Amino acid sequence: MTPNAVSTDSRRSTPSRSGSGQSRRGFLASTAVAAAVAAGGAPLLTACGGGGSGSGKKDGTTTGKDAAKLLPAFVASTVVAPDIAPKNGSAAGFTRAIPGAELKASVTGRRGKGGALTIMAPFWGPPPAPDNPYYKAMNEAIGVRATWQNQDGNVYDQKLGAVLASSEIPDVVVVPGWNLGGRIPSAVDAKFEDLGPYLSGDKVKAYPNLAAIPTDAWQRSIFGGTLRGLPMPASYVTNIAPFYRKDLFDAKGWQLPKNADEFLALAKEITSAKAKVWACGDMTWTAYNMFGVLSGSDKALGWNLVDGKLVNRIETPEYLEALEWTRKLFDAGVVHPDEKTQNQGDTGNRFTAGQCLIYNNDLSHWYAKTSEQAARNASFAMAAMDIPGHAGGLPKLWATNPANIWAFIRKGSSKAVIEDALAVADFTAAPYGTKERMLTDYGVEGVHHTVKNGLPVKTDKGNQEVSSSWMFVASPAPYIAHPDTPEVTRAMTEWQQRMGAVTSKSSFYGMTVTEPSRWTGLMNDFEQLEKDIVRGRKKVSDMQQAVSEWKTKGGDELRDWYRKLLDTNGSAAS
Amino acid sequence: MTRSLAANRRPQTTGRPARSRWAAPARPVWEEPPGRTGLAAKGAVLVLACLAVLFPLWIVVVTSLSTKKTITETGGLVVVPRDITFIAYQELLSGGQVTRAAVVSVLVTLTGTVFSMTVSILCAYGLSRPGSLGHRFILLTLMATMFFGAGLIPTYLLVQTLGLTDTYLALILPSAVSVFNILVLRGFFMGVSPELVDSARIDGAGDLRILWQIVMPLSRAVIAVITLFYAVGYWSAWFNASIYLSDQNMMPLQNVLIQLAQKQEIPVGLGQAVKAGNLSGLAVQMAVMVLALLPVAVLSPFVQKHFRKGMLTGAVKG
Repeated sequence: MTPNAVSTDSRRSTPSRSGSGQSRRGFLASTAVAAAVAAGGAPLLTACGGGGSGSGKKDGTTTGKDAAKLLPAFVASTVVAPDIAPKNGSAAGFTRAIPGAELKASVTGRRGKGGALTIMAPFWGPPPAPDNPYYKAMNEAIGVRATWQNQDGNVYDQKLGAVLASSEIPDVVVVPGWNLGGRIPSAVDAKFEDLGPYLSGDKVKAYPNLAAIPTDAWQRSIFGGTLRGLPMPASYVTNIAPFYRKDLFDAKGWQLPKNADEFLALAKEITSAKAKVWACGDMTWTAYNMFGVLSGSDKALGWNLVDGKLVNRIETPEYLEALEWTRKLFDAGVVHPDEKTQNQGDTGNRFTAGQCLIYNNDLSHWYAKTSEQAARNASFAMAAMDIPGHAGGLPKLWATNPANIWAFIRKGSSKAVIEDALAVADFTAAPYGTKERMLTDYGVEGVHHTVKNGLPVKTDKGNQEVSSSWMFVASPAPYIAHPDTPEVTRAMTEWQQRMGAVTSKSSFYGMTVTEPSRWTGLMNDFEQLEKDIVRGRKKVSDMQQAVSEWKTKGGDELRDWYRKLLDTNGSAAS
Repeated sequence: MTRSLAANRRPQTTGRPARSRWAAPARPVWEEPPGRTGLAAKGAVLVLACLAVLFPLWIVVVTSLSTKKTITETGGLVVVPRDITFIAYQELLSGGQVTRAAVVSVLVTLTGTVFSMTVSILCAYGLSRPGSLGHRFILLTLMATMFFGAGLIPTYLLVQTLGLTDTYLALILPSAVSVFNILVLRGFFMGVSPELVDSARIDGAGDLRILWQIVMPLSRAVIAVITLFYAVGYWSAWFNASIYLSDQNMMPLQNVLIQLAQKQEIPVGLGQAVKAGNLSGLAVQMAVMVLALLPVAVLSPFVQKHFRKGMLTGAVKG
């Protein structure tokens, strides 16, 4: 119930930045991360856990059967039926606001025991003041005394490293997937509590909202062979949507492209440098999807078993073809000239200004840009085109991670603290249409929001105090709910469903893999090289050379390492 | 006499330089006063250089004063001012948050700079006196820290163990002393005439008096430069606060400005979008840059005259 772009599905990229300067590190929020360092280089497969509870050490010998013992039972929430049911891995869609009187309760009574909790989480923007009425209302409703330590999200990885090395670890620590670099995965294993005794199997049923979190997300929450994380679930369907200016396309009668060649031809038709209109921004990410390149959002997701051999995305012909095609766009002059210089302005601004009519970004931009423009450009309309296959027909898309932010509870916490933290998680994981969700997203009516035309609208106080950090402790199954723009909600959900239908899961889907430290930096230079190639500063053959060097410097060994992991554990993809 | 003058003039009037000038130039050509063309070229280069510096600043200022409509229409940065508004500055300066953070920054900058200069000058003076106890060992130890850092985690643990986390001292002590600055000061102090120091000593002055009344007055240039270095460092610092402070009310200006700039990027709903009206996230970001730059821009001209001398001395002595 959140006009303020509140939906668990779009929030997974909260810290992302738009614009040509966007990096995959920031945007997809996990690329730089995927290879985390394992102490001593021991292979760690954390998704398929088993044994070793609380030891913080795993040698990658766990099996899917053991993982099944750790995973919480799934009990779907039936509190409120979505207007658009989830399908093909999409989020659920809620197109209407539910009046306060009709809100259901998903939690009976106050679950907390009134204990004090400190919670550390990243925050982007000015954090709310401590002890503000919103925090008080949340604490009161849950039955805890939570104190937030909101830290600057931009340097959170460094703060996290320092805090985890110290002796003063907060009771609950939020860890985004993109901060799982360096020694942090080892610290996660060593410093955080095993939640298996509280949540595995049917035990989770004591927390009905946590029981309704999809199993995929829980599987990603197994670290070091132990269920340690409380996940923030996300749809596994790609979140990179190619947006176009529907108003201008309709006016000009342009048809959406059905393959890569049509895209280029259309781009040439649209571009008129004289009129300061260019067809698109940097479309590399869309090119990857059009050409069926394995996901680059996580290092483990970039590997896939093909004809009995593990191949990495950078070794595939599709990868080179996608780069070559994007380079053609730049060469043809259909890309906005500012895109050639990285970090030069915001592509989204150029899109709304009508200087660039196609750009790709997180799906959440659909709502954000639409609501932003509603007040100033009544004719503005945007939509996401279905990603075409490069040769026509349907594309082959690859699944992204079903969870990428977790909350952990400090190891050695008392049972009371753990249960209080789980009470917070159960509350914040309440589904759309419940009193708990409404309070979490909107605060107190009359104080933090008012209801206008049936829609809750935050007050100034609400904008200052209502903090999305609570969602990081745990969230419900992915959903999209923008009742102020129901047509956008429907379009976003249905786009996910269509793209989900052509989405496959690669060999390490759903697994949290910790690579040995000696290979952590192997792929560091590839992102810049990709940018240089598509912009014509380097040749495609330079990429072939880089891949060749990558193989000799450890890529082949890494392949063997992943292969061993796969042979031992099997794929989690279903 | 007349003939000889005419003979001397001839090569110049015909445009041929006299042979003797080529054979033994009185001074290099670049030291000759430039002709009109040279002056014009120099002027053009300087104007271009100034524009290269000022044009981005102009864009920053104009964008910070632009409405959302203008920014949307230009697709980002604004060059030609239209519909000037101060809404971004109002947004930043309302609520008292920035004012409080500015007070914190000013106090930290003043206290930190005084502390850093005191420690650095005393240290540099000690190291500049030949024969002072263990000065070579101390100098090498200090220089070692320039090449080998402990890293963030050990530093954090040290600050935490000292009980400095969530105190203002955490913003000053970990970065209080720059070895580079000490070396620059030492180099300058070593250039002070030994005769002056010796005569002061004969007159009965102790080291502190010599430092205060002889060395420091003679070293105003370098002290001004190093003071600026430290002051700008404290004013611009944000990382220490991000790492060592949890209490939002203690955050210095830079951290608060970063937070405010990020806030504007968070998507809002229809209600808020209407309400936000002319406020653009980009304008807020540019206003943040202007506010952050302002004190340094104001302060710099006053120490500019010392800058060249101070830096040059530090560079060539040591």
